[in-house]
Amino acid sequence: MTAIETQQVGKRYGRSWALRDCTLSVPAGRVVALVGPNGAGKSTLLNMAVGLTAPTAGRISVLDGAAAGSPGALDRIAFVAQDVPLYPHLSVADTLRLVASLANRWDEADARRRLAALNIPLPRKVGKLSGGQQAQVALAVALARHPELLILDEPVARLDPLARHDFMAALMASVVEDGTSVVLSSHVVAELERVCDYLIVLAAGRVQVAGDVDTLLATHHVLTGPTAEVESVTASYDVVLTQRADRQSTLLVRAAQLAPPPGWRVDPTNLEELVLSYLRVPEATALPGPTARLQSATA
Amino acid sequence: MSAVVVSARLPRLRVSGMTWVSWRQHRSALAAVAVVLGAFSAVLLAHGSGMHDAYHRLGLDVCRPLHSDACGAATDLFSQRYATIADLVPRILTFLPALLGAFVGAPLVARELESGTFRFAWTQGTDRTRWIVAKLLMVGGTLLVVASAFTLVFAWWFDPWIPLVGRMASGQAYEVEGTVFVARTLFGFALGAFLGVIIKRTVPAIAATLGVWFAVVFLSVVYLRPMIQEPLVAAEGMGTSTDGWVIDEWFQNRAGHHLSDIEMNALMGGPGKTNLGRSIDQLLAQNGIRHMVQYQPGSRFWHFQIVETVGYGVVTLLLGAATVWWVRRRTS
Repeated sequence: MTAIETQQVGKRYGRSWALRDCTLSVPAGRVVALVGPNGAGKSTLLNMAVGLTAPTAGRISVLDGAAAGSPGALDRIAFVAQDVPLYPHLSVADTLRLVASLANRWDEADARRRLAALNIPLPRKVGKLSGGQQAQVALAVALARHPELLILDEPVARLDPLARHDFMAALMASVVEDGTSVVLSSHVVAELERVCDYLIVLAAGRVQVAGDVDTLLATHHVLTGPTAEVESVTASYDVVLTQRADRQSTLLVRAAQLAPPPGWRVDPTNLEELVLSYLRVPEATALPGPTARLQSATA
Repeated sequence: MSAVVVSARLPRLRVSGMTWVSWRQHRSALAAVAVVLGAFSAVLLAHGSGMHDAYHRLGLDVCRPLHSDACGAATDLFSQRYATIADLVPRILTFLPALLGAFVGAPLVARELESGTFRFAWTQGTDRTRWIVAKLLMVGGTLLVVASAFTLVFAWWFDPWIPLVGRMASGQAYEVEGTVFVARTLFGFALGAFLGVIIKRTVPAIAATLGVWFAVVFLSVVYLRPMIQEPLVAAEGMGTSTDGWVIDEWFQNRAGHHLSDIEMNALMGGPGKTNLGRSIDQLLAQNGIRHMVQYQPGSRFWHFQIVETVGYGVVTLLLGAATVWWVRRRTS
């Protein structure tokens, strides 16, 4: 079961590649975080998945092989684009009617229930709502289409912390109840840690990390010890990143089970630290199955 | 019976799907068009009733032939009072289709692309082709109806002038009467929609639409219109005006030689020696010189209108098809 699958997908704008040679498989039934710095190609990838952007190279399919952007696929996918582009001059009620007119799958009662729970007035013009409310309207509309796959592109980037929290809470409540596959992109990792169970790190148009959040956290550890011993430790461990200080240094180490060298302390890592470490070392990758084998075969 | 029951029994006027979407999203633009055309119509109706009254009062609807001396005083009076406005109004209204087309057509898709709302509209499950075709048909159809209604108002307003000046004269009432006005409105609309899709920004798309519309209409009037049908050439008395579109006029002698201004002046014996009017006719007749007119007669009005309308219609359909194709293919 895959939500999004790409094979050597690339997208070129003029002379520069927004995404290059991107092969990935986003599992279905998961809440997938697509993270990476600005300009990593996250939006490009997600826009491709809903047919708003055509790949320059490679192939992309959604929901187990459906052509991205085909009407059949769009019926089963809801997309909340970056900056929540709703029609500001339409009232909330008219926005619902617009979607009812455009969508083949639509649960009006569900949308109204969600908006009522959020105290968002239906006669109000969307442009007069706060940023948080606009995002909630977009989410309510997306969820009321009962999608099999919900794609959100930087859904909370412009929201204040309280609105972020409310948005994520509304999202998670619905996703848990429906079992919807979710892919959301963000350049802020901290907010995703509580909600996501699968992580994809995209950097400079390439997939750097892909995997189960629990597995990634279980197989990465932070070693702290004397800087003088860093060289010897690095030689015997799979070190992703070394951060040296005068006396103490910190290493992010990849290992299923870790017995620390004498005089070193081992700590669990967190998602933010893990992502930042990989982003600092562009050549380091943590990829599942086939891709990893391919790498070792070519090495 | 309570109000609730009454309202429940009334069938609700509910248009469905893309028709409603198109209407809801473009109703303010269409309302603006209705207001502009309605205001012009009101002015034409008010002014026209006075002009029609004067026409009847002066007996011009019964005085025949109109270009005879018997009707001369009445036509002079009527012309003195109304000729300026009858000349000016169609010249202004000639450009109205450009404005209607540009301001309704250019934002149709450009605004979605500019504000990013296309990402919302095109991912709800409705096929993009259906989305754009419905919008083009709905908005274009409304423009067709209101522009047609407006040309009928104009035709009524201009009606008294047709026996006097004809309706073929290029650059005048011809441009606002008949079907050419409507065709140019729809051409402007399709052009605006197409340029909006390509340029992706509303204001530059409006500007480009106006520019291209003017260029196309100007070139077609100057270069293509004369090719529709070979003009007639006839000898006419001075002071007799044809009811058609005069393209050229000259004096020629029995041998068919075109006389230059110098030759004509020499013939007249220099300025001041002759008085204008029919004495010139006598002088010309004595010398065997004829006043020739090359023109398109008023009877060709509908032939010209239909040919031009078909021309604009074909271009409009091609632009519409190109717009649909581009929206289907468009990916950022």
